[in-house]
Amino acid sequence: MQLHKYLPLASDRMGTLWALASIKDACIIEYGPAGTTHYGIEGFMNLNSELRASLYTTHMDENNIVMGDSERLTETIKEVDSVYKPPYIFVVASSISSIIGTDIDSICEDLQQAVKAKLIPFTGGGFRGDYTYGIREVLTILAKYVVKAPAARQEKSFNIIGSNADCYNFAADLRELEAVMQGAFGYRLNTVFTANSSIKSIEEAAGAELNIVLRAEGIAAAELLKEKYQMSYIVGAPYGFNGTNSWIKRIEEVLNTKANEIFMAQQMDKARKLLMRFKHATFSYRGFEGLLAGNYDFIADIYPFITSELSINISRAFVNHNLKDKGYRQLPEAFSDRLLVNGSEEAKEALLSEIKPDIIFGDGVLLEMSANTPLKLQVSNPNLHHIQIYDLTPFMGFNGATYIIEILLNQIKQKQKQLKNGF
Amino acid sequence: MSYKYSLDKLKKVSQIETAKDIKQLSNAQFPGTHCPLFGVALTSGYIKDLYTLVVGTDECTYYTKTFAMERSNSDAAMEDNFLSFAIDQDDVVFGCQEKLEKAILHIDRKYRPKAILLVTTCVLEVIGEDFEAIIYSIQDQVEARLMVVHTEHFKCNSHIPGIERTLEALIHLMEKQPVRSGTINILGHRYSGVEDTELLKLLQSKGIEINVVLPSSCSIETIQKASAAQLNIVTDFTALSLAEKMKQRFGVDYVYFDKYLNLERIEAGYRAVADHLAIDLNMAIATLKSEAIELIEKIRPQLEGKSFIYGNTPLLAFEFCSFLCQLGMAPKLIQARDLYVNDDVYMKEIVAAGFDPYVSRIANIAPLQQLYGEIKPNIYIGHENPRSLMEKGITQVVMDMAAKKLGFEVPITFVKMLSKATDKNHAHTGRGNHHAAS
Repeated sequence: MQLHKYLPLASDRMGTLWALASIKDACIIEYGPAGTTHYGIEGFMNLNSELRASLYTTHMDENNIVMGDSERLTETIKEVDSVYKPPYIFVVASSISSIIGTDIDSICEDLQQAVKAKLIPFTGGGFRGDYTYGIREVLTILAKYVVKAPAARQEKSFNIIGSNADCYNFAADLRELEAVMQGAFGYRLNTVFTANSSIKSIEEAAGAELNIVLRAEGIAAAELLKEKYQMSYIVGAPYGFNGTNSWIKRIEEVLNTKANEIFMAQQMDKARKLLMRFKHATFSYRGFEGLLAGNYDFIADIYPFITSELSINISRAFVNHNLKDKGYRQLPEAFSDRLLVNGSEEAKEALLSEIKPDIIFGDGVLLEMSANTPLKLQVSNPNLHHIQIYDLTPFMGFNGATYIIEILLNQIKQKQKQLKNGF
Repeated sequence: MSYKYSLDKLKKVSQIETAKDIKQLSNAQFPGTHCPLFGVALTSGYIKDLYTLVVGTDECTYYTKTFAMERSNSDAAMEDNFLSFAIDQDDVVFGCQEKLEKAILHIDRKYRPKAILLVTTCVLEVIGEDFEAIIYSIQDQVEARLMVVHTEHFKCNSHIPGIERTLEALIHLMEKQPVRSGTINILGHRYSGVEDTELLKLLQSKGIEINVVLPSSCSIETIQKASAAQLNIVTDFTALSLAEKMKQRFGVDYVYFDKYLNLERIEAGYRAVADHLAIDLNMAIATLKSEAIELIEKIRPQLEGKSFIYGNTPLLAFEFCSFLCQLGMAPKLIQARDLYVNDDVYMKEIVAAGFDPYVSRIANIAPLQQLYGEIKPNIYIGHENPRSLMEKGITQVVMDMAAKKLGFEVPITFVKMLSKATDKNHAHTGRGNHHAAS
């Protein structure tokens, strides 16, 4: 059923705009009715992200649709090129321009000689897949057309590929990744594809030593950069103490260097104490049953922390998109049966009432559906009401594990009666 | 070819004859206008027992739903009865009539709504999905009354048609009723608390009762009885079409009494209402009007000679600017959505006052920001980036508060806000006569 009480699955076009809109100095022209752009700008705020790109709409009228007249688009491209002089113009199709068959590729090709900006078309229009398709396309195209050959290698620096506005906690997680890489290896962040980034820093991405790919949608980009600029990469995000520890060990192998032993010992010592405290606080309850929801890679990476380190049983995990593209990592076989991929609202509601979870690590919609669940932590989008400003509240890394434990301990303390009644 | 943003591309008030004369400053627009679908979202959420089914792309349905959820979360009068039918590529090629009919049956049985508003979007209009045929085919099988609103954005320039058409659609829910003397409907008011407005407090003090407020305080049941009112008072031009339809179908007369700033128009509105309802408002009108005049005259010296750009308010653009011209303020540029009823009158008033400002299309701030230095306004009225205005030394006045008012309280509230803002500005930038925009 394509009927939704809550939200439909965001489209490839939405993913494209989400990924591009957070890049400073990126210039985007949408060929479609203005309302689509205006809605998109307001929707972007719901992701707790800032519109850093320059975004323009051409608007469209009946003449453009009935007669296929695309002069409005060519004039807008020429105008933006002349007035704002951006190095790149990302020309994004709308659902309407896709349906009427506007050939954005050819328009950009024909116009390229007449403008100074490099024209980069995105022809999806919202019918080619879900938002992960759009994000994959943006990451790949940035690696292909925007990253330049490095003048010189920037020693001890790394890039992050796949931290995007659709990642619920991207700002705080970026800060934590910087802190972990600095503490463990003395490495500094070079650029991010694409959250809070800029065109200039993405152009200079190839100067870094290492690419850290946080989501499968970034693997094609990392492969391209490896091929063109011999940049090594690892895939995966660090969640939990053990997860972060093993993530660092993988980086040790790639960089052929040892992480700072004092830093690591301090972190793991803190980990032991905190995990002990969490176990002590929860031993009097029956084992917690949990639900987890978010992007596939997020689920794959955070699952071991929740189950092994926090001893919470994840009965089911809801993947908030399709898995039609290749490149996703395998989850443990025992867990794959527990995945609900792009499940319907009815299926989720049925599982909520069947499982009656004690805890949900989920998105804003799932939390709204589960009014009676005692312990709830929003970890993914879609976001409905939550405002995030402070960026020292990570989920990734050692501090992320600490922060999640702190939230859970507080919620357990507040909900003791409700939890014990269910014992 | 070199492009340069220039006011010369625009026409002036005296040259505006049709909506096509209102030009854009640039081809590239930011942020662009909202679409009629947004107009529906602003309106139908107020109506209790009504379910709104938005049929469109993932994007159109997703953002409408998040807006509706946010709005219902912050406004007690709003309900989140929005459902989405997200079309896919197959629907674009083969149509989606059968699937839609199934969805409507499902909604009817699961939620038991009294009415369902089907809302089309751009793609559905382009592929020509026939929603009227869907209603004809399925109405007998469902309990809910079905209605449709079309919201293609490529035929218009703003969200206003979405509001107008949603209100018009309500005529299908109305039934002929015996007239209840001394009752009124308020048509077009989209804010809660209409009872607290000057107009309603005055009418209620004379024993006049509110029958129904469309859309901000109504249900399917009260809408059915809307034709029982003795008089419709249209407080927003978006409800004029509904009022005309109600007059034709049920014989309910109406008075158009918008959120005017001009004192004579407000007085005329009050007198028309009093005549229709056969009540005496002479004393009250005289008192309220003289209070307004006293305040305006007190603040006039502070405002006289100040120049402004009109951006966007919930009030009538040209009527608003005409009022400021009467206060001795100088319009430099008026941003307008379209031309609406009586705009020709208001534009003539502006010219008669000795002003002939440029007129541009609304919701295109990017090129305008490059022209602030040339325009050098003292005041910007409406929503804009406060920081960017502050950097140019331009005082911003946002008028959202005044939109909830009706009667002389509209100009009183506005003039007070304007006075406060310009006072603040004086304190803020008042180092000599320095003006950052100059």
